Amino acid sequence: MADIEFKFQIEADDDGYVSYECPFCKSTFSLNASEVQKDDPVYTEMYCPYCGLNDVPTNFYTKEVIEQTQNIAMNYMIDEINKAFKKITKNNNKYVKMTYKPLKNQSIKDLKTKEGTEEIFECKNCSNHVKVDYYLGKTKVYCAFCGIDIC
Amino acid sequence: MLDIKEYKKISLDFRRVASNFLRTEYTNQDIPLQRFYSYIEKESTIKNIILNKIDGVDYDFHDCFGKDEFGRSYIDIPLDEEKHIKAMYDYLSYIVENNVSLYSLSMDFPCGSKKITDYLQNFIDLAFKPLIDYIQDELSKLMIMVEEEKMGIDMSNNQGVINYAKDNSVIKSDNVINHNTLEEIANVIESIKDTIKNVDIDKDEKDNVLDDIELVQEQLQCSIEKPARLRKAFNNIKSFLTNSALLTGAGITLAENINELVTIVQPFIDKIA
Ligand SMILES: [Zn+2]
Ligand SMILES: [Zn+2]
Repeated sequence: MADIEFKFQIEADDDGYVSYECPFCKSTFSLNASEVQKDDPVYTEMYCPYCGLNDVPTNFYTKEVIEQTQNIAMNYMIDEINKAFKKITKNNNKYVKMTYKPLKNQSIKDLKTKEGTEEIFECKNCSNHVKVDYYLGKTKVYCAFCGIDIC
Repeated sequence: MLDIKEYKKISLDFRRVASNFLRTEYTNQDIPLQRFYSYIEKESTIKNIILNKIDGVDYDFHDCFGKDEFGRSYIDIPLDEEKHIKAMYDYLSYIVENNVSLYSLSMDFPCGSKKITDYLQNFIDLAFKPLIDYIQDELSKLMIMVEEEKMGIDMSNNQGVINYAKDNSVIKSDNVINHNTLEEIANVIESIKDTIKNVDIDKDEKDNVLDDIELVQEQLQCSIEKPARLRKAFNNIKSFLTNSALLTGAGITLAENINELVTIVQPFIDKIA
């Protein structure tokens, strides 16, 4: 089967930041949407601003985003199944009768990034930004893009 | 001592090998482990962090990573941090030097998943994450010390940025921590110490926040000799405000007092930022 591409959108907060969750320490932080989506350079890995460990960006998606992508994929499958059944029911003859009730689509919520007591830091090395929870801010804040410690 | 750039490089390199180790996947499971171990061995700053901690500690890692009478594996973490660090480091060396399969070790620790990769990552997390955390904490402390020294020089070059007038004379500068401010701070701290007694929080937590408060007071009294430490203590105090014990009863008064302290001290923190 060919790869199918699903598109989804995450709404940014008032500063243009979207939420991420660290796969190692589970803390959440936000990044500037336009900086994450930059074409040059394309970021193939991401660092947690709190614990500084790194992984591929998709592993930093929040639970809500993952749930959402699963719902979108599920809806696609349901649509395909519904289409297939429709075809079958059209071909009914007098020997086989088939009716079908379409499966309901999963509800897709709007993803909105929550606002809190957060502070934005700029990286002197790559000049990108991270927004971290001030109260979680331990001794160090690392840049999510280049991994250098910002403060 | 290295300069801050070199420490930043080591920190980044270490976090990268540690991350790779933590997200080890089935099919290449022994490589990230070997890379992690050889990095620790060859990077003297990190090796020294470990050696300083476990120097003279007598502990057999089999007591921490053992098997019971039925042959089931267990991890029994010793109370002393030094012993735990030594156990993790010795166990790591043992695995690498004897080519012990990470796969078979991992299989002894069920993790509620059917994927081998999950087993591997679960085991590495249980067995070695505390070692990684410890090294990172120590690296951060080293970096703070280096930055503090540098800042100390910057501050002393910048004459009288923050000056405490011991004789109560008025020094005409916006940046002076004058006697009144210090007295105000002392008063707030007295109330905090009084109130905190009646708030239901863990003794350790109480002691920690009181230590931080005292550190802030000391630093303001001595014209901020250790700015990085002052800022850290100040941030700790702020984060203490999110403690849920401050939402009810005597906690509310305590929160008010701490907020007052934060408001008085904040301008000085902004200046050293
Ligand atoms: Zn993290
Ligand atoms: Zn950066």
